[in-house]
Amino acid sequence: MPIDDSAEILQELISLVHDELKVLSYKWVARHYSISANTAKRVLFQLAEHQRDKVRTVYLVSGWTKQEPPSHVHRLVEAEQLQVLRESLGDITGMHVYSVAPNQATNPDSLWQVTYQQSQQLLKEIMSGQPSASAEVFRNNSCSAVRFTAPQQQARQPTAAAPAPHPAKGAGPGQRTAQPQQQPQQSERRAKQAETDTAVGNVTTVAPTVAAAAPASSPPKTEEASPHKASGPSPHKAAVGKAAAATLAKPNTLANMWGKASTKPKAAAAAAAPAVMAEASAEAAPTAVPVPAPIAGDEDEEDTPVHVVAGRGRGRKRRGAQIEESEDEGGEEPVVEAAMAAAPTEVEDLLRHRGKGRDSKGAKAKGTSKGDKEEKGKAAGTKRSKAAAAVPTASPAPVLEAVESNGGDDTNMDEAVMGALETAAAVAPQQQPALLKPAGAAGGGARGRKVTRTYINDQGEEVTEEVWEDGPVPLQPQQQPQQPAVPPATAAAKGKPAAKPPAAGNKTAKGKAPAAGQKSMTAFFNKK
Amino acid sequence: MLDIEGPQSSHRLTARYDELLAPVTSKDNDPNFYRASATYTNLDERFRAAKRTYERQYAQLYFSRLMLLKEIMQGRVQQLWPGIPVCSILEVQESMEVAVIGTIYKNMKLKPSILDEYSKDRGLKAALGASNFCSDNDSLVLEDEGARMVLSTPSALTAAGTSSSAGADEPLNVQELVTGAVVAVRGVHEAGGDFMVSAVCFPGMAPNPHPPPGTALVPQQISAVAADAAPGDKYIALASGLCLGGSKVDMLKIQLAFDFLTGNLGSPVEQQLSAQIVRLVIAGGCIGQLEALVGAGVGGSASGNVYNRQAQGAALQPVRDLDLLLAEVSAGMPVDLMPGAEDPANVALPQQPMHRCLLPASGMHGSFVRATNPHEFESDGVRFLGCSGQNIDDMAKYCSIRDRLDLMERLLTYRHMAPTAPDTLTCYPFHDKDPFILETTPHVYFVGNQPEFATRLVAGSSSSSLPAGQLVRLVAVPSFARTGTIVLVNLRTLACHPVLFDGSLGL
Repeated sequence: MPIDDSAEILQELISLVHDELKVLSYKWVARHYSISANTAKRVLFQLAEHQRDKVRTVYLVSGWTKQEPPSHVHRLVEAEQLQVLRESLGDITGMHVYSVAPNQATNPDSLWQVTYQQSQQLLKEIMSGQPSASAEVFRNNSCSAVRFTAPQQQARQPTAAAPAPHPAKGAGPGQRTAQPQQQPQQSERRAKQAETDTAVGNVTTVAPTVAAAAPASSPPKTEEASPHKASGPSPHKAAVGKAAAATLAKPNTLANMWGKASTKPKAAAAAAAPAVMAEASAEAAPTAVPVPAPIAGDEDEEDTPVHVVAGRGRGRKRRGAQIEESEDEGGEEPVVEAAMAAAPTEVEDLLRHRGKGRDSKGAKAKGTSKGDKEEKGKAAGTKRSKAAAAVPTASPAPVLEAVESNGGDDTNMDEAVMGALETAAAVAPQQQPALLKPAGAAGGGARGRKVTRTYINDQGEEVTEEVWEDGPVPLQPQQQPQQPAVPPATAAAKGKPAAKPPAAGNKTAKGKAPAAGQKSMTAFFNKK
Repeated sequence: MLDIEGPQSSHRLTARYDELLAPVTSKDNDPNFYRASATYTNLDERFRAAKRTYERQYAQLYFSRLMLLKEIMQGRVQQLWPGIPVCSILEVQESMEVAVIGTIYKNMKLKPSILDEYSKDRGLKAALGASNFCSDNDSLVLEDEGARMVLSTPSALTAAGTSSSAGADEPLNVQELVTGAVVAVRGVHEAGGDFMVSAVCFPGMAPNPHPPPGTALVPQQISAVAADAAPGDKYIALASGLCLGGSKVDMLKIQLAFDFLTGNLGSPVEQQLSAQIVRLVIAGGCIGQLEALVGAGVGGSASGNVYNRQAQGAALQPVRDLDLLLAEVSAGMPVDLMPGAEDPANVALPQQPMHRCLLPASGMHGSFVRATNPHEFESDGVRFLGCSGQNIDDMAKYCSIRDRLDLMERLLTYRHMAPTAPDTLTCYPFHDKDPFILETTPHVYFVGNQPEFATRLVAGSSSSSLPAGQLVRLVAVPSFARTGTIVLVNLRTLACHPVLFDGSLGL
C-alpha cells in the first residue's frame, strides 16, 4: 500500500474516531480498506501517536510469563497499563496496537462488537452472493500475514449438489449457476421418483432418468460457464428426443383430428387415446432404450408417422372435441375416457417438453410446423378414413390393458377396436411398460406441489428438503398393483387439474391443454 | 519441563517484538508466511453410523465388548500369571485358584436411578450434589457371558491398595474401577459364594503399529528434544469449550484466539508460530449450553408464540456466531469440528458430525471438516484420538480417581474409550462391534472440555503391551471459556505448547 494512501486512511480514521465515536480495531481497519493486518496495526499506531491524548489505545502484548514454567500469553492492555504488563512478562515476543477508541467512556464490549458486526456484515454479503472487496478479504483471510490456500473442494462437490446449493459456493459465477443447477437436480429427482413409483420402472423410466441424468451431471463441468449454458442442456436433452418424434408426427395431426372428430367421434376418441399411448411408447423407445424400439417399431412402422401424429393431433383436438364426446357419449366408455384422459395429459407433457426444447433451440421449427400442419391437415382431410382405420391398429394395446384392468366388464368397446385388439395384441406387451411412461413423464413435467421430505443420506445425516413433487405420484403406489395400465393415466389425469400450469413457455399448448384435461377429468368422475 | 515448550531463543534474531510499533514506511516490508501443511487422514469411519436403529438391547454391546477383548485378556493372563487356569464363572470350583475374565459391574448406593425419584425420598441425594457418586460400601460384581459373581477383597489387601503402575497386575481396588471395564481377576472361590480376589489385570495399552515418524522418541532423548522447538516444526492446535451459548461469553477472547490462529494477531514472531499450525481441532463445547438454544424459545412462549421467527432467530444466535467464527478461521487454516456434550448433535456416543445446515458459511470452505465425537485422524504419521470429554467426565463421577490424566491413562489400559457407556453414559446400541475399543493406542490422546490444561507423556513399559519406547501423549484440553487456553501439539516431539489469551484488560 502506498504511503500516501495510508495518509488518506489515517485522515479518514481520525474522523471516524472523533465524529462517529467508533472503536477501531486493527482487524476492522484491515478489512475495511483491504490492507494487510500488519499495515493496519502500523496505521493505527500512527493514529495513536498523532492523536496521543485524544484517543484511548489498547495494545496487545504477547510474551512469556516469568513464572515457572513460562506460559505463552496474549494480553490486551490499555496504554497506561502497558509498562506494568511489560515488566510482568519475562520475554516479550510481540506488541502492537490492537484498537483505538475515542477518549470517552465506551461500552467495554465495543472492543469486539465493531469487529464482530463487521464480520457479520461481510458474511452476509458473501452469503447473499455479492461480496465486496472487504468480504473477499474476509473470505480469503487475505489480510493475514499467513498465506493459506485451502484444499480443493472436490470432496464437497457431490454433497453440495444434493441440497439447495449455497448461493456463494465456488467462485463468482458459481453463485449464479446455482439456480440452473437446481433444475436438472429436480428433474433427476423427479425421474427417480417416477422410477420408484412406477414399479415397472426399468424400461419406461429410463428415458427420463437418462435424459435428466445427463444434464444433471453436466453442470459441474459447466459450472464456470454462463447460466445459459448450464441451463441449456438440461431441458434440451430431455426434449430433443421427444421433439424429434414430435416433429415427425406433427404434420397431419390437426387434420386427422378434426376429421375424426366430425365423422366418427367415438371411434376416433377411442382410438385417439391409445394412439397417443402407442406413440408414447414409440417415442419412449428412441429416447429411452433400444429394447422396445424395434418391437414397437415393427408394428408401428408404417403407422407411426400417421398415428402417432393422429394421436397427437387428436390429443390436441380432443381438447375441443372431447367436450362433445364426453358429454355425448356420456357414461358409455370409461375406458376410453380414461385413456383419453391420459392422452391429453401426455400430449401436454410432450408439448411442454417440446416447448422446453424450443426455448433452447427449436422454437421456429415448431412455429412454422404448426402453421404447415394446419394446411396439411386440411389437405389430409381425405386421409381421414384411412387415418381412422389405421388408428385402431395402433390403439389396441393400451385399450387392451385398460379393459383388462377394468376386469373386462367394458362391453361397450368398439368392434373395430376389438378387432384391432387382436391384431395388435402382440404390441401390448411392449407397450405396457411404455404405457406407464406417460404418467411418469407427465408427472415429471408437471410442476406439482412443494413437498418437504426427510430422509437419511449416505452419511447418516438427516436431510430435509423441499421438493417439487408432481401431483399424481402419491396416488400411484396404491393403485399400481391391481391396475397396471390405467392408474398412471387416471392418476395423471386426476393430478392434472391440481397441478399448476407448466412453467415452460409453451403458451399455446398451455392454453388448451389444461382445459382438455379438466374436461376429461370431470367426465371421468361422472362416469364412475 | 519436558512436556511443555518454553520460549524459543531463536526468534530474537529474526524479528523485533515492537516491529509493528512504527509508522508505515514502505509498501512491502511485511513478512509473509506460508502456512505449513501436513498430510491428513480422517479415521472417523468406525464412529459414523449411517443407519441408526434403537431397537436393540444394550446387553449385546457388553457381550460383544467381552468377546472382542477376551482373547487379549487370555494372552495377558498367561503372560502375567503363568500356570493359572482361565475359566468362566460357571466353571469356577471352590478352593482352587483360577483366573476369570469378565466385565465389571459396580454396585453403587448413590448412583442415581430414575426409580429412586419415585420410591425414595430425595433429600439426601440432592444434598450430596452430583459431582461424585462413590461411597464406601460400593461393591463389585463380575459377569461374563454365562453368569455373575460377587468379588470381594481380603481386607489386608484393601488397605494396601496403592495404585501401582496401571496395566500390571494389582490388587482389587473397588473405588477405582468402573462399570463396563473388562478385566481378569485371580483368586479363589469361597464357600460363601464370594470370589476372593488376589489380583486384577487389565487389557493394557494396545500396541501401536505405526511408530511416530521423525526422531525416534526414546525416553532418554525426550528431555533433550521435547523442550526445544525447532524452526520447522508443525503443530496441531486443540481447543474446546468456546461456550458461545453461555451466559457470559467472552467474544473478545475468542476473537483473539482465532485471530492468532489465522495469523492476524501479534508480531511476526507470533505469525510465524501461527503459520506452523497445520490444523485446528475443536473438541466440542462450542455452544456449551443447549439450554441457551432452548431457553430463548421458552422465553418466547411467555409472549405468545414460541415458534415465531424472532424467537427462533434469537435462539439460534450462538449457532450463527459459531458459523461466523468457523468461517473466519477455516479461511485461514484447516479445521476439524467435533460436537460436544451440549452441542446441537445427537447425544449418544458416538456423536455424529454437526449438521451442515447449522454451519452454512463455514461449510463453504474446503478446509472445514465436520467430525464425529470420538475423532481419530492421522497427520504426518502422528495418530490423534480424542473425545469431547463426556467419557472422562462421566468416569470421574463413578470412581475415586480425581486426576483427569490418571483417568485418561486408565482408559488406555482398559483399552476402551468409554467403559461407562451404556451404563451411565448414553451410547448407541451397537450389537456386533464396539467402536470404543482401542485396537491401537494413538500417539496423542486428547480429551476436551476439561477444567484445566494438563498433559503427560506415558511411556510403554514391559508391563503393558505397549512396546517399551513407545509413547502416548495425553492432553487434557481445557475449556476455552474458562481458561482462555488453546493447546498446540508439536507433531515432531509431541510436546505441548499452551497459548493463553486474555482480553480482560486487567479488569
